[in-house]
Amino acid sequence: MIAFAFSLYSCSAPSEETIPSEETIPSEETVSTEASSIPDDNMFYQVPTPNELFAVLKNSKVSYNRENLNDVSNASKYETKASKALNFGIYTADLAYVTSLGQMDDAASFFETVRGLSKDLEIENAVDEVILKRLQTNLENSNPDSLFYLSNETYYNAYSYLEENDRRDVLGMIVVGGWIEGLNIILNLEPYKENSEVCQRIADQKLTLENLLVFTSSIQNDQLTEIVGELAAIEEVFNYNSSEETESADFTSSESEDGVMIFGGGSSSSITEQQFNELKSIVLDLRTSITEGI
Amino acid sequence: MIRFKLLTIVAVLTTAPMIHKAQSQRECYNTVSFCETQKKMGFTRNMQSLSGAFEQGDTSVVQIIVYKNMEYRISVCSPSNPELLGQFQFKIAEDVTKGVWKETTQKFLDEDGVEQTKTTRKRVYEKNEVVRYDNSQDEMSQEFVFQSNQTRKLKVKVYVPESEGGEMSAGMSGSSYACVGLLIEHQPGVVSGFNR
Repeated sequence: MIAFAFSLYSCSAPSEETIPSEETIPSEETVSTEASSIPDDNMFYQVPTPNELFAVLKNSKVSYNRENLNDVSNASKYETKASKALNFGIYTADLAYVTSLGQMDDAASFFETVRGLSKDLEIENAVDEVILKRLQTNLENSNPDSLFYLSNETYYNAYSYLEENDRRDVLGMIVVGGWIEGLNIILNLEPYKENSEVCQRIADQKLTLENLLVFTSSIQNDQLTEIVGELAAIEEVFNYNSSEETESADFTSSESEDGVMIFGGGSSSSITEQQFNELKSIVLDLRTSITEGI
Repeated sequence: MIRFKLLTIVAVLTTAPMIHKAQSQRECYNTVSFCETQKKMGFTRNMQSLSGAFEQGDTSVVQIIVYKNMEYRISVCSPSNPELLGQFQFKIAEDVTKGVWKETTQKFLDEDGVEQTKTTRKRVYEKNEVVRYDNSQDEMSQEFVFQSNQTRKLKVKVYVPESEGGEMSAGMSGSSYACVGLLIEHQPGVVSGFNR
Protein backbone atom coordinates (compact mmCIF):
# COMPACT_ATOMS: atom_id res chain seq x y z
CA MET A 1 0.00 0.00 0.00
CA ILE A 2 1.36 3.32 -0.98
CA ALA A 3 1.47 5.77 1.89
CA PHE A 4 0.40 9.29 1.12
CA ALA A 5 1.83 12.13 3.09
CA PHE A 6 -0.39 15.15 2.90
CA SER A 7 1.17 18.17 4.45
CA LEU A 8 -1.26 20.99 3.87
CA TYR A 9 -2.20 22.78 7.02
CA SER A 10 -5.75 23.98 7.33
CA CYS A 11 -6.68 27.22 9.04
CA SER A 12 -8.46 25.83 12.03
CA ALA A 13 -9.10 28.32 14.83
CA PRO A 14 -7.85 27.25 18.24
CA SER A 15 -10.42 27.18 21.03
CA GLU A 16 -10.31 30.44 22.95
CA GLU A 17 -9.59 29.75 26.61
CA THR A 18 -7.63 26.54 26.64
CA ILE A 19 -5.03 27.00 23.95
CA PRO A 20 -2.40 29.64 24.47
CA SER A 21 -1.18 30.18 20.96
CA GLU A 22 2.49 30.17 21.89
CA GLU A 23 2.13 26.76 23.46
CA THR A 24 0.31 25.15 20.60
CA ILE A 25 2.52 22.70 18.82
CA PRO A 26 0.97 21.63 15.54
CA SER A 27 2.30 18.39 14.24
CA GLU A 28 0.92 15.84 11.89
CA GLU A 29 0.56 12.20 11.20
CA THR A 30 -1.35 10.07 8.77
CA VAL A 31 -3.69 7.46 10.08
CA SER A 32 -5.24 4.89 7.87
CA THR A 33 -8.71 4.06 9.00
CA GLU A 34 -9.09 1.45 6.35
CA ALA A 35 -9.23 -1.99 7.89
CA SER A 36 -7.73 -3.85 4.97
CA SER A 37 -7.87 -7.61 5.03
CA ILE A 38 -6.44 -8.04 1.56
CA PRO A 39 -3.16 -9.98 1.61
CA ASP A 40 -0.26 -8.37 -0.22
CA ASP A 41 -0.16 -11.00 -2.95
CA ASN A 42 -3.76 -10.12 -3.83
CA MET A 43 -2.81 -6.47 -4.41
CA PHE A 44 -1.75 -5.43 -7.89
CA TYR A 45 -0.38 -2.05 -8.93
CA GLN A 46 -0.77 -1.20 -12.59
CA VAL A 47 1.01 1.43 -14.62
CA PRO A 48 -0.54 3.16 -17.65
CA THR A 49 1.49 2.83 -20.82
CA PRO A 50 2.89 5.67 -22.93
CA ASN A 51 0.21 4.76 -25.47
CA GLU A 52 -2.49 5.70 -22.99
CA LEU A 53 -0.70 8.94 -22.14
CA PHE A 54 -0.49 9.95 -25.78
CA ALA A 55 -4.08 8.86 -26.38
CA VAL A 56 -5.02 11.43 -23.71
CA LEU A 57 -2.98 14.12 -25.45
CA LYS A 58 -4.01 13.11 -28.96
CA ASN A 59 -6.68 15.78 -29.23
CA SER A 60 -4.72 18.48 -27.48
CA LYS A 61 -2.96 19.67 -30.62
CA VAL A 62 0.48 18.96 -29.19
CA SER A 63 3.45 19.54 -31.42
CA TYR A 64 5.60 16.92 -33.06
CA ASN A 65 9.31 17.28 -32.48
CA ARG A 66 11.51 14.54 -33.87
CA GLU A 67 14.47 15.86 -31.87
CA ASN A 68 12.90 14.73 -28.60
CA LEU A 69 13.01 11.09 -29.65
CA ASN A 70 15.80 8.58 -29.44
CA ASP A 71 17.56 8.31 -32.76
CA VAL A 72 16.86 4.93 -34.33
CA SER A 73 20.53 4.64 -35.30
CA ASN A 74 21.38 4.33 -31.59
CA ALA A 75 19.71 0.91 -31.41
CA SER A 76 22.78 -0.87 -32.74
CA LYS A 77 24.99 0.26 -29.86
CA TYR A 78 22.99 -1.33 -27.06
CA GLU A 79 24.85 -4.45 -26.01
CA THR A 80 23.60 -5.56 -22.62
CA LYS A 81 20.20 -7.04 -21.87
CA ALA A 82 19.41 -4.17 -19.51
CA SER A 83 20.38 -1.56 -22.06
CA LYS A 84 18.32 -3.24 -24.77
CA ALA A 85 15.29 -3.62 -22.50
CA LEU A 86 15.35 -0.03 -21.22
CA ASN A 87 15.69 1.28 -24.76
CA PHE A 88 13.00 -1.06 -26.01
CA GLY A 89 10.76 0.77 -23.53
CA ILE A 90 12.04 4.12 -24.79
CA TYR A 91 11.44 3.25 -28.44
CA THR A 92 7.93 1.92 -27.75
CA ALA A 93 7.11 5.25 -26.08
CA ASP A 94 8.57 7.06 -29.10
CA LEU A 95 6.49 4.84 -31.36
CA ALA A 96 3.35 5.68 -29.38
CA TYR A 97 4.09 9.41 -29.70
CA VAL A 98 4.90 9.17 -33.41
CA THR A 99 1.80 7.14 -34.28
CA SER A 100 -0.52 9.18 -32.02
CA LEU A 101 0.34 12.22 -34.13
CA GLY A 102 0.09 10.33 -37.41
CA GLN A 103 3.72 10.79 -38.39
CA MET A 104 3.74 8.14 -41.08
CA ASP A 105 7.28 8.81 -42.27
CA ASP A 106 8.83 8.06 -38.90
CA ALA A 107 6.41 5.32 -37.87
CA ALA A 108 7.95 2.68 -40.12
CA SER A 109 11.48 3.23 -38.83
CA PHE A 110 10.40 3.08 -35.18
CA PHE A 111 8.39 -0.09 -35.79
CA GLU A 112 11.48 -1.59 -37.43
CA THR A 113 13.69 -0.55 -34.50
CA VAL A 114 11.29 -1.99 -31.94
CA ARG A 115 11.14 -5.18 -33.97
CA GLY A 116 14.93 -5.45 -34.05
CA LEU A 117 15.28 -4.99 -30.30
CA SER A 118 12.47 -7.43 -29.61
CA LYS A 119 14.40 -10.05 -31.56
CA ASP A 120 17.55 -9.30 -29.56
CA LEU A 121 15.57 -9.65 -26.34
CA GLU A 122 13.93 -12.84 -27.62
CA ILE A 123 10.46 -11.36 -27.35
CA GLU A 124 9.40 -13.30 -30.35
CA ASN A 125 5.91 -12.10 -31.01
CA ALA A 126 6.11 -8.37 -30.22
CA VAL A 127 6.06 -7.40 -33.87
CA ASP A 128 4.89 -10.59 -35.52
CA GLU A 129 4.09 -11.26 -39.18
CA VAL A 130 0.45 -10.30 -38.67
CA ILE A 131 1.35 -6.90 -37.27
CA LEU A 132 3.98 -6.39 -39.99
CA LYS A 133 1.43 -7.09 -42.70
CA ARG A 134 -1.13 -4.77 -41.13
CA LEU A 135 1.57 -2.18 -40.66
CA GLN A 136 2.46 -2.29 -44.34
CA THR A 137 -1.18 -1.99 -45.38
CA ASN A 138 -1.83 0.93 -43.06
CA LEU A 139 1.32 2.73 -44.13
CA GLU A 140 0.29 2.35 -47.77
CA ASN A 141 -3.20 3.59 -46.99
CA SER A 142 -1.99 6.38 -44.70
CA ASN A 143 -4.15 5.24 -41.81
CA PRO A 144 -2.69 6.86 -38.66
CA ASP A 145 -5.39 5.62 -36.26
CA SER A 146 -4.65 2.03 -37.16
CA LEU A 147 -0.93 2.60 -36.74
CA PHE A 148 -1.54 3.95 -33.24
CA TYR A 149 -3.62 0.87 -32.52
CA LEU A 150 -0.82 -1.37 -33.82
CA SER A 151 1.73 0.35 -31.60
CA ASN A 152 -0.50 -0.51 -28.62
CA GLU A 153 -0.73 -4.12 -29.81
CA THR A 154 3.06 -4.28 -30.11
CA TYR A 155 3.46 -3.23 -26.49
CA TYR A 156 0.70 -5.61 -25.43
CA ASN A 157 2.31 -8.55 -27.22
CA ALA A 158 5.70 -7.88 -25.65
CA TYR A 159 4.20 -7.44 -22.19
CA SER A 160 2.15 -10.64 -22.43
CA TYR A 161 5.05 -12.66 -23.76
CA LEU A 162 7.35 -11.57 -20.94
CA GLU A 163 4.68 -12.25 -18.33
CA GLU A 164 4.00 -15.68 -19.77
CA ASN A 165 7.67 -16.56 -19.71
CA ASP A 166 8.22 -15.16 -16.24
CA ARG A 167 10.77 -12.60 -17.42
CA ARG A 168 9.73 -9.85 -15.09
CA ASP A 169 13.21 -8.32 -14.99
CA VAL A 170 13.02 -7.44 -18.68
CA LEU A 171 9.39 -6.43 -18.29
CA GLY A 172 10.25 -4.08 -15.44
CA MET A 173 13.01 -2.41 -17.45
CA ILE A 174 10.73 -1.94 -20.45
CA VAL A 175 8.04 -0.35 -18.29
CA VAL A 176 10.59 1.94 -16.60
CA GLY A 177 12.18 2.94 -19.93
CA GLY A 178 8.78 3.67 -21.43
CA TRP A 179 7.72 5.72 -18.42
CA ILE A 180 10.88 7.86 -18.48
CA GLU A 181 10.61 8.51 -22.22
CA GLY A 182 6.89 9.33 -22.00
CA LEU A 183 7.63 11.90 -19.30
CA ASN A 184 10.62 13.28 -21.20
CA ILE A 185 8.53 13.77 -24.33
CA ILE A 186 5.70 15.63 -22.60
CA LEU A 187 8.19 17.78 -20.66
CA ASN A 188 9.53 18.95 -24.01
CA LEU A 189 6.26 19.50 -25.85
CA GLU A 190 5.89 23.15 -24.93
CA PRO A 191 7.20 25.77 -22.49
CA TYR A 192 5.74 25.85 -18.99
CA LYS A 193 2.23 27.24 -18.84
CA GLU A 194 0.37 27.05 -15.56
CA ASN A 195 -2.54 24.58 -15.61
CA SER A 196 -2.15 23.84 -19.31
CA GLU A 197 -3.33 20.43 -20.50
CA VAL A 198 0.26 19.28 -20.92
CA CYS A 199 1.34 20.52 -17.47
CA GLN A 200 -1.60 18.71 -15.87
CA ARG A 201 -0.59 15.49 -17.59
CA ILE A 202 2.99 16.01 -16.37
CA ALA A 203 1.66 16.46 -12.83
CA ASP A 204 -0.41 13.28 -13.25
CA GLN A 205 2.81 11.33 -13.57
CA LYS A 206 3.22 11.64 -9.81
CA LEU A 207 0.46 9.06 -9.51
CA THR A 208 1.83 6.79 -12.22
CA LEU A 209 5.28 7.00 -10.62
CA GLU A 210 3.87 5.84 -7.28
CA ASN A 211 2.40 2.75 -8.92
CA LEU A 212 5.56 2.20 -10.97
CA LEU A 213 7.67 2.15 -7.82
CA VAL A 214 5.46 -0.45 -6.16
CA PHE A 215 5.22 -2.48 -9.36
CA THR A 216 9.00 -2.68 -9.75
CA SER A 217 9.69 -3.25 -6.05
CA SER A 218 8.51 -6.85 -6.39
CA ILE A 219 11.09 -7.61 -9.11
CA GLN A 220 14.48 -8.84 -7.95
CA ASN A 221 17.11 -7.51 -10.32
CA ASP A 222 20.14 -5.42 -9.41
CA GLN A 223 20.20 -3.38 -12.62
CA LEU A 224 16.50 -2.64 -12.36
CA THR A 225 16.90 -1.67 -8.70
CA GLU A 226 19.68 0.70 -9.70
CA ILE A 227 17.68 2.50 -12.37
CA VAL A 228 14.56 2.63 -10.18
CA GLY A 229 16.73 4.22 -7.48
CA GLU A 230 17.36 7.07 -9.91
CA LEU A 231 13.64 7.79 -9.91
CA ALA A 232 13.83 8.96 -6.29
CA ALA A 233 14.98 12.39 -7.43
CA ILE A 234 11.93 12.68 -9.68
CA GLU A 235 9.59 11.61 -6.89
CA GLU A 236 11.16 14.22 -4.63
CA VAL A 237 10.39 17.00 -7.10
CA PHE A 238 6.81 15.82 -7.52
CA ASN A 239 6.44 15.91 -3.75
CA TYR A 240 7.42 19.60 -3.43
CA ASN A 241 3.77 20.51 -3.38
CA SER A 242 1.98 17.61 -1.80
CA SER A 243 -1.54 17.04 -2.92
CA GLU A 244 -4.24 19.24 -1.58
CA GLU A 245 -6.44 17.86 1.09
CA THR A 246 -9.65 16.50 -0.31
CA GLU A 247 -12.86 16.17 1.59
CA SER A 248 -14.89 13.02 1.08
CA ALA A 249 -18.03 15.10 0.65
CA ASP A 250 -16.55 16.49 -2.54
CA PHE A 251 -16.48 13.10 -4.13
CA THR A 252 -19.66 12.94 -6.14
CA SER A 253 -20.63 11.19 -9.33
CA SER A 254 -22.91 12.34 -12.09
CA GLU A 255 -24.19 10.94 -15.34
CA SER A 256 -23.43 12.43 -18.72
CA GLU A 257 -26.08 13.01 -21.40
CA ASP A 258 -25.11 9.74 -23.04
CA GLY A 259 -25.48 7.83 -19.79
CA VAL A 260 -21.81 7.49 -18.86
CA MET A 261 -21.00 7.81 -15.16
CA ILE A 262 -18.54 10.64 -14.43
CA PHE A 263 -16.54 10.47 -11.23
CA GLY A 264 -16.20 13.98 -9.82
CA GLY A 265 -14.47 15.61 -6.92
CA GLY A 266 -10.88 15.87 -5.91
CA SER A 267 -8.38 18.46 -6.97
CA SER A 268 -6.72 18.78 -10.34
CA SER A 269 -3.04 18.04 -10.68
CA SER A 270 -0.62 20.89 -11.08
CA ILE A 271 3.06 21.66 -11.00
CA THR A 272 4.97 24.87 -10.52
CA GLU A 273 7.44 26.30 -13.01
CA GLN A 274 10.26 25.36 -10.65
CA GLN A 275 9.10 21.75 -10.58
CA PHE A 276 8.71 21.77 -14.35
CA ASN A 277 12.27 22.98 -14.89
CA GLU A 278 13.78 20.62 -12.34
CA LEU A 279 11.89 17.66 -13.72
CA LYS A 280 12.98 18.55 -17.23
CA SER A 281 16.62 18.58 -16.20
CA ILE A 282 16.56 15.41 -14.06
CA VAL A 283 14.54 13.38 -16.54
CA LEU A 284 16.71 14.42 -19.46
CA ASP A 285 19.89 13.41 -17.60
CA LEU A 286 18.44 10.04 -16.69
CA ARG A 287 17.04 9.47 -20.16
CA THR A 288 20.36 10.42 -21.77
CA SER A 289 22.21 7.94 -19.59
CA ILE A 290 19.89 5.23 -20.93
CA THR A 291 19.93 6.20 -24.60
CA GLU A 292 23.70 6.49 -24.57
CA GLY A 293 23.84 2.97 -23.30
CA ILE A 294 25.72 3.83 -20.11
CA MET B 1 15.68 -38.85 11.59
CA ILE B 2 12.12 -38.36 12.74
CA ARG B 3 12.81 -34.68 13.17
CA PHE B 4 14.19 -34.47 9.63
CA LYS B 5 11.08 -36.14 8.22
CA LEU B 6 8.88 -33.82 10.22
CA LEU B 7 10.73 -30.78 8.89
CA THR B 8 10.42 -32.11 5.35
CA ILE B 9 6.67 -32.56 5.75
CA VAL B 10 6.29 -29.08 7.20
CA ALA B 11 8.35 -27.63 4.34
CA VAL B 12 6.25 -29.43 1.74
CA LEU B 13 3.01 -28.35 3.39
CA THR B 14 4.07 -24.72 3.55
CA THR B 15 5.54 -24.43 0.06
CA ALA B 16 2.97 -26.54 -1.80
CA PRO B 17 0.27 -23.86 -1.83
CA MET B 18 2.80 -21.31 -3.11
CA ILE B 19 3.98 -23.61 -5.90
CA HIS B 20 0.37 -24.41 -6.70
CA LYS B 21 -0.50 -20.74 -6.95
CA ALA B 22 2.58 -20.01 -9.04
CA GLN B 23 1.62 -22.79 -11.45
CA SER B 24 -1.92 -21.49 -11.54
CA GLN B 25 -0.67 -18.00 -12.32
CA ARG B 26 1.27 -19.33 -15.29
CA GLU B 27 -1.81 -21.15 -16.58
CA CYS B 28 -3.81 -17.94 -16.37
CA TYR B 29 -1.35 -15.38 -17.69
CA ASN B 30 -3.33 -14.35 -20.74
CA THR B 31 -6.93 -14.89 -19.66
CA VAL B 32 -7.84 -11.29 -20.36
CA SER B 33 -7.20 -11.74 -24.06
CA PHE B 34 -10.21 -14.06 -24.12
CA CYS B 35 -12.54 -11.47 -22.57
CA GLU B 36 -15.01 -9.89 -24.95
CA THR B 37 -13.76 -6.48 -26.01
CA GLN B 38 -15.68 -3.47 -27.29
CA LYS B 39 -13.28 -2.59 -30.07
CA LYS B 40 -16.24 -1.85 -32.34
CA MET B 41 -17.35 0.81 -29.89
CA GLY B 42 -13.92 2.42 -30.23
CA PHE B 43 -12.30 1.01 -27.10
CA THR B 44 -8.64 0.02 -27.02
CA ARG B 45 -7.26 -2.66 -24.74
CA ASN B 46 -5.64 -1.02 -21.75
CA MET B 47 -2.42 -2.45 -20.39
CA GLN B 48 -3.62 -2.03 -16.83
CA SER B 49 -5.83 -5.06 -17.45
CA LEU B 50 -4.94 -8.07 -15.37
CA SER B 51 -5.06 -11.82 -15.77
CA GLY B 52 -4.50 -14.17 -12.91
CA ALA B 53 -5.32 -17.18 -10.83
CA PHE B 54 -7.87 -15.93 -8.37
CA GLU B 55 -8.76 -18.12 -5.43
CA GLN B 56 -12.46 -18.71 -5.08
CA GLY B 57 -13.95 -16.81 -2.20
CA ASP B 58 -11.07 -14.34 -2.31
CA THR B 59 -10.99 -10.65 -3.09
CA SER B 60 -8.20 -9.16 -5.15
CA VAL B 61 -7.48 -5.48 -5.51
CA VAL B 62 -6.07 -3.90 -8.64
CA GLN B 63 -4.91 -0.33 -8.29
CA ILE B 64 -5.12 1.60 -11.54
CA ILE B 65 -4.67 5.16 -12.76
CA VAL B 66 -7.44 6.69 -14.85
CA TYR B 67 -6.78 9.82 -16.84
CA LYS B 68 -9.00 12.84 -17.02
CA ASN B 69 -11.13 12.98 -20.18
CA MET B 70 -10.71 9.32 -21.02
CA GLU B 71 -13.57 6.88 -21.04
CA TYR B 72 -12.90 3.51 -19.42
CA ARG B 73 -14.72 0.22 -19.64
CA ILE B 74 -14.12 -2.39 -16.97
CA SER B 75 -15.34 -5.97 -17.33
CA VAL B 76 -14.62 -9.31 -15.72
CA CYS B 77 -14.50 -12.69 -17.41
CA SER B 78 -13.46 -16.26 -16.77
CA PRO B 79 -13.60 -18.29 -19.99
CA SER B 80 -12.43 -21.41 -18.15
CA ASN B 81 -15.24 -21.13 -15.62
CA PRO B 82 -18.32 -19.93 -17.46
CA GLU B 83 -20.53 -20.78 -14.48
CA LEU B 84 -18.99 -17.81 -12.68
CA LEU B 85 -20.11 -15.32 -15.29
CA GLY B 86 -22.65 -12.95 -13.83
CA GLN B 87 -21.50 -13.77 -10.31
CA PHE B 88 -18.34 -11.70 -10.06
CA GLN B 89 -18.77 -8.86 -7.66
CA PHE B 90 -16.60 -5.85 -8.26
CA LYS B 91 -16.32 -2.44 -6.72
CA ILE B 92 -14.44 0.66 -7.76
CA ALA B 93 -13.17 2.55 -4.76
CA GLU B 94 -10.96 5.52 -4.05
CA ASP B 95 -8.91 6.43 -1.02
CA VAL B 96 -9.74 9.85 0.31
CA THR B 97 -7.53 11.54 2.85
CA LYS B 98 -9.13 14.07 5.13
CA GLY B 99 -7.29 16.17 7.66
CA VAL B 100 -8.68 16.77 11.13
CA TRP B 101 -7.17 18.46 14.17
CA LYS B 102 -6.91 16.32 17.27
CA GLU B 103 -6.32 18.05 20.57
CA THR B 104 -4.82 16.71 23.75
CA THR B 105 -4.88 18.73 26.95
CA GLN B 106 -2.36 18.31 29.75
CA LYS B 107 -2.38 19.89 33.21
CA PHE B 108 0.82 21.12 34.82
CA LEU B 109 1.97 23.37 37.68
CA ASP B 110 3.69 26.62 36.76
CA GLU B 111 6.58 28.24 38.67
CA ASP B 112 4.17 29.63 41.27
CA GLY B 113 2.57 26.23 41.80
CA VAL B 114 -0.63 27.24 40.03
CA GLU B 115 -2.26 24.61 37.89
CA GLN B 116 -2.22 25.42 34.19
CA THR B 117 -3.37 23.59 31.11
CA LYS B 118 -1.56 23.14 27.88
CA THR B 119 -3.25 21.96 24.76
CA THR B 120 -1.38 20.37 21.95
CA ARG B 121 -2.97 20.18 18.56
CA LYS B 122 -1.97 17.53 16.13
CA ARG B 123 -3.02 17.38 12.50
CA VAL B 124 -4.14 13.86 11.78
CA TYR B 125 -4.90 12.68 8.28
CA GLU B 126 -7.48 9.97 8.11
CA LYS B 127 -7.63 7.81 5.05
CA ASN B 128 -11.06 6.58 4.18
CA GLU B 129 -12.30 4.57 1.29
CA VAL B 130 -15.07 5.93 -0.89
CA VAL B 131 -16.88 3.35 -3.01
CA ARG B 132 -17.52 4.85 -6.43
CA TYR B 133 -19.29 1.90 -7.97
CA ASP B 134 -20.58 -1.42 -6.73
CA ASN B 135 -21.98 -3.84 -9.27
CA SER B 136 -24.08 -5.52 -6.58
CA GLN B 137 -26.10 -2.29 -6.67
CA ASP B 138 -26.32 -2.56 -10.45
CA GLU B 139 -27.91 -5.99 -10.97
CA MET B 140 -24.46 -7.62 -10.87
CA SER B 141 -23.56 -6.06 -14.18
CA GLN B 142 -20.27 -7.55 -15.34
CA GLU B 143 -19.16 -4.39 -17.10
CA PHE B 144 -19.04 -0.71 -16.28
CA VAL B 145 -18.22 2.36 -18.35
CA PHE B 146 -17.13 5.59 -16.73
CA GLN B 147 -15.12 8.78 -17.03
CA SER B 148 -13.38 10.91 -14.48
CA ASN B 149 -13.20 14.69 -14.21
CA GLN B 150 -9.65 14.37 -12.86
CA THR B 151 -6.80 11.96 -13.22
CA ARG B 152 -7.09 9.72 -10.20
CA LYS B 153 -5.99 6.50 -8.60
CA LEU B 154 -8.73 3.92 -8.24
CA LYS B 155 -8.92 0.49 -6.70
CA VAL B 156 -10.86 -2.19 -8.52
CA LYS B 157 -11.86 -4.87 -6.03
CA VAL B 158 -12.86 -8.15 -7.58
CA TYR B 159 -14.52 -10.87 -5.55
CA VAL B 160 -14.41 -14.35 -7.06
CA PRO B 161 -17.42 -16.33 -5.87
CA GLU B 162 -17.11 -19.87 -4.59
CA SER B 163 -18.48 -22.28 -7.14
CA GLU B 164 -20.98 -24.89 -6.09
CA GLY B 165 -19.40 -28.20 -5.18
CA GLY B 166 -16.34 -26.53 -3.69
CA GLU B 167 -14.05 -26.88 -6.70
CA MET B 168 -13.95 -25.05 -9.96
CA SER B 169 -15.62 -27.11 -12.61
CA ALA B 170 -13.21 -26.57 -15.42
CA GLY B 171 -9.90 -25.15 -16.48
CA MET B 172 -7.83 -25.88 -13.42
CA SER B 173 -8.77 -29.34 -12.30
CA GLY B 174 -8.56 -30.14 -8.65
CA SER B 175 -7.77 -26.59 -7.73
CA SER B 176 -9.52 -23.84 -5.89
CA TYR B 177 -8.33 -21.24 -8.37
CA ALA B 178 -10.13 -19.82 -11.36
CA CYS B 179 -8.50 -18.03 -14.26
CA VAL B 180 -10.00 -14.57 -14.21
CA GLY B 181 -9.44 -11.65 -16.51
CA LEU B 182 -10.06 -8.07 -15.46
CA LEU B 183 -10.30 -6.31 -18.78
CA ILE B 184 -9.81 -2.57 -18.85
CA GLU B 185 -10.35 -0.66 -22.07
CA HIS B 186 -10.12 3.02 -22.87
CA GLN B 187 -10.98 5.57 -25.50
CA PRO B 188 -10.93 9.34 -25.60
CA GLY B 189 -14.00 10.63 -23.78
CA VAL B 190 -16.60 12.90 -25.30
CA VAL B 191 -15.64 16.41 -24.28
CA SER B 192 -18.55 18.64 -23.41
CA GLY B 193 -19.47 21.15 -20.74
CA PHE B 194 -16.85 22.78 -18.55
CA ASN B 195 -15.10 19.77 -17.12
CA ARG B 196 -15.07 17.22 -19.89
